[in-house]
Amino acid sequence: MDSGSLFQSLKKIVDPDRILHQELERRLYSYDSSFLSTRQKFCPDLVILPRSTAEVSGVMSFAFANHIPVTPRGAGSGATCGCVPVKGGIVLDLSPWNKVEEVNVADMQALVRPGVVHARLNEHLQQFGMFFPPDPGSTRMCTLGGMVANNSSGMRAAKYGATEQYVLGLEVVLPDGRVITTGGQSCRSLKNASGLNLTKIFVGSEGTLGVITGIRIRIWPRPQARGIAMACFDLLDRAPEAVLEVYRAGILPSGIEILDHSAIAAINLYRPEINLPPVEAILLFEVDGNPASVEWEGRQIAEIAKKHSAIVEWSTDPQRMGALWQGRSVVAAAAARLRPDGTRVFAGEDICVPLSRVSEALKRIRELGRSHEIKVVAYGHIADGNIHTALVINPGHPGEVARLDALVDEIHHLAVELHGTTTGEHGVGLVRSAYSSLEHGGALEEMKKIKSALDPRGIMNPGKIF
Amino acid sequence: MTNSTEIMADYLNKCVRCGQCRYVCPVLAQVARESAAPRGKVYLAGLLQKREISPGPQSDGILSLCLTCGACTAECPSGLPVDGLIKSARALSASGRPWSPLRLAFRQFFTHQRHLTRLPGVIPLMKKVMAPHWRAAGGPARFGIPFRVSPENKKPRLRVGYFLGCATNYLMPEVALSTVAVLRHLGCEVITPPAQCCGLPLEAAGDPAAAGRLLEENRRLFKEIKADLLVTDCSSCSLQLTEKGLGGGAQPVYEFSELLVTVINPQRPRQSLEAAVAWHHPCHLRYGRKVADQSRQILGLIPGLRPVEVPGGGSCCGGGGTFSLKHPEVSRGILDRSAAGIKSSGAEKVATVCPSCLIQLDRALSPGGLAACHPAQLLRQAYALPG
Repeated sequence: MDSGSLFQSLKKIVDPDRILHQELERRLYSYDSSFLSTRQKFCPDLVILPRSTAEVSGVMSFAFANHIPVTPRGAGSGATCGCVPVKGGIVLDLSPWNKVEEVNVADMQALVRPGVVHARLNEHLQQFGMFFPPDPGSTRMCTLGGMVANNSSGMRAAKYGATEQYVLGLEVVLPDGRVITTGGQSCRSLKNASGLNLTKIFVGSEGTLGVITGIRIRIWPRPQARGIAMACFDLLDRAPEAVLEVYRAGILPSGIEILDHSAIAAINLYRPEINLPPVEAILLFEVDGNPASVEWEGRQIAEIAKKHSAIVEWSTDPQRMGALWQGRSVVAAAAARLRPDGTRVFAGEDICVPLSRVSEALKRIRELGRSHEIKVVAYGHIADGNIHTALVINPGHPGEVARLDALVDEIHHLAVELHGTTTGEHGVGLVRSAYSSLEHGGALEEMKKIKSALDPRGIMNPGKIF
Repeated sequence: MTNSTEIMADYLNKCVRCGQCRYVCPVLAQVARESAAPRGKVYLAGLLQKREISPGPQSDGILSLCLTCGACTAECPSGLPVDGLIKSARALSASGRPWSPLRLAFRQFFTHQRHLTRLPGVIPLMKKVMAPHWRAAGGPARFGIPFRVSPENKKPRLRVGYFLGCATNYLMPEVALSTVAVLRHLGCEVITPPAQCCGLPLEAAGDPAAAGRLLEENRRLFKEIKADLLVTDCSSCSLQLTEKGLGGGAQPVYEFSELLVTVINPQRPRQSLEAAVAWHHPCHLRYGRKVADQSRQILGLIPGLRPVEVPGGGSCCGGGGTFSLKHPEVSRGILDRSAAGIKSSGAEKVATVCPSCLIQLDRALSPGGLAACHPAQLLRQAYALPG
C-alpha cells in the first residue's frame, strides 16, 4: 500500500494533522544515532503521531488486517536501528505523547506515557522528593518508552539496576490491536508473583512484540546527599583494580564511570570549564544516601583510590558534581570533537563483560583499534563492566568504513569470548542481530516462538533482534 | 558551490543524531514532530547538500520552522553550529529556483530600507505588520539623533559608534533616543552613522550574499568615524555584528547593557523607580553571544527597583524576527509559556535588550498591565534625562 492510500485509510482513525505522508517528513524518520542508519535508506511509508491508546489500537488493527509493518519510535536516540523501519510500513512516533499521568507518592509509583523524556520525568518528580533511579547518559534525549523497549540503564546501574527493575506493569497494544495490561489489571502493589511475568517479556523487546502505551514505574525517595570522588590514573590498567578494591571494602557506589585519555580530551573540548586533568584514565565514583554515610564512603573511596592514582578529588559541591556528571553523560557525542575531519560513529559501542575481565577488555579494544587504525575512545559504566567505545572515523572515506566494520565485528566477538555480551544496555536492533545466535544458541529459537505467538503476522518492528 | 555549503559539508558529517538538541528546542515543544527538531533540519540540510533531494516548497517549509535562537548550538555535544547550518540550508533550499516575489521583496526591503522608509506610508505599514500592539510614536529615531552627540561641559571619556538597528530606528525610536541620552549622560561622545540593516534578517532567510553587501557598507561607514568602540541596543544586531566583525577587528562591538557593565560602570542614578522588574534574557545573547544576563546588574543600580526572578531563568519568547509572522500559532505557543513564567514572578515590568523580544512580550503581557521596556528607557528615567 503506498503512502497516499495509507493516508486515506488511516485518517479515519487518527487526526490527519498527526499523520505525515509527505516524502521529506517521512525521510526524517529514517535514522537513529546508529551509523548503519546513515548508510542505508530506510524510509517509512507513513508516520503517525498517536495521542491515545485507542488510536494506537486502531492503527494496529488496520496494520494487522493489511499485513503492514509497524515500528514504534521514541526520541530516535537509540544506536541500533531499533526504531528505524527497515521493512517500510508505518512508524509510530510516540515522543509527542509525553504525559506523566499520575504520581502516587504514597504507593511509590507513577504512570507515564511512552514519550516522557527521562530528564523531564526526574525534573517533575523532584517536587515530590522522589526520583526514577536508572540514569542513562542520554537522559536529556531518551524517552521512557524507549528505555523500557531497550531495558536501558546507565550510570547508576551498579546500585540501582536497569529499567526492568522499575517497571511494575505495562499497557500494551498487541499487534492485532487488542490492549492488555501486564502486572495485574488494577494492581498497584510493589510486588506481584501472580502468573507469568509478561512485563519482563515486553521490557527489552524493542518493539517487536507490541506497542507500549502506558508504563507503571516504581519511584524511589530521592537520596538526601550525593558526592563524587574523582581518581586520576597514569596507567589505564590501574583503574579496574581500584574499582574491585572499593567493592571488596564493602562499599557500593551508586555509579562508577571510567574515561580514557581520549574521552577526557573530548570532555575538555566540549566543556573547557570542567578542566579534567590530561591523564590516562579517570574514574568517577558517585555515592549517595544520607549526608553522614556519603561523607564516610567518599572518604573511604578516596583513601583506596590514592593507593592507585596520582590525583584524587572528593566533592559534594553541587556545581562541580553537576559539571563532572554532565561531562560524562555527553562524552558519547562529544567524542566527535577529537577529529576535525571525522565524527564519532555509533557502532560496536555497548559491550558488557564480567568485572574481572574489564582490564583485559579495555587493553584488547585499544590494541584492536591500533591494528585497524581507528581512533577508539573508551568510557562507560565500569561498575558493571559495561564499556562504551566511541569509534571516530571519517565516514566519507570508504577504506576507513571497511576497517571500522572489521573492528566492530572483532569487538563484538571479543565480548562473547570474554563471557560477556554484545550489548549491556542499548539493545540489539538491526546492528547486532547477526550475533544473536552466537550469544543465545538454542535459546534464540525459543525467543522466536514467543515472537511468533504474540506477533503471528510478523508486523511488529520486523528485521530486528531475531 | 558557495563557501557556506562547503562549510556545511564539513559540519554535517559530525552530527551523530544523538537528539540532545530536541531537549532545548522551543519549536519542537510546540510542533512535536521530527521535522521541527534541529536534528531533523540538520539531516535535511545533509540531503540538500548531497543533492539527494531537490529544493522546493517542502524543504522551505521545514527549514522555516526555526527561530534560529541558537539553543541547539549551545547544547550540541558535537559542537555543530546548528542554527548556522539551518540558515545555510535555507540558502540551499532557495537555490536553483526562480525567486518568489516575497523573497525578492524581502531582499529589496532590507537592502534599500533607508530609501524605502522615506516613502510615505512605509513606516506605518512596518509598524502595522511587525508591531501592531507596540505603543511607539513618532518618526524614525534617526530624525531625532544628530550624527554626533557630545557630553555637556566635559571631555568625552569614550568615543562610541552607535549602530542604530532597524527595529529600534523604525519601530521603537524611544529606545534609540534613550540609548543615546544615557550614553551621553555617562560621558560618551556618541556618533551615529546612517547604518544599513545589520544583515541578520537576510542571513536568517538564507540570503548571505545580500547580508554580506550590507556588512561591507556598514564597515565602511563605521571605519570613517574612528570610534573607540561600537555599541548597539539590540541583542540580535550585536550577535550578527560580533560574529561578522562590524569593526573589521579594529573596534569591539558591545551590546548596550554589556558595555555599561563591562566598560563604563555607571554611577547610581538618583531618581527612584518603584517597581518589581523581571529580566528577559534574549536567546541571541544567552546562546549566540554567551553573554551572561548582566543587565540584571543595571537593574540593581536603580534605586527602588526590585529585580525579580523568573522561574527556571525564563524561556524564549518565540519572536524570532519574522518567525512570528510566518508561524503565528507556534510563536504564540512559545510566547505564552514565556509570558506565564514572567507573570508568575510577580513582576510589574519586564526588561530586555532585544526589540524583537520587547514587541513579542508586550503582545502577551501588556493586556494584563505588565509593561515591557528596554533598560535604556529605565536608566533614562532614573537619570531624569529629558526626552
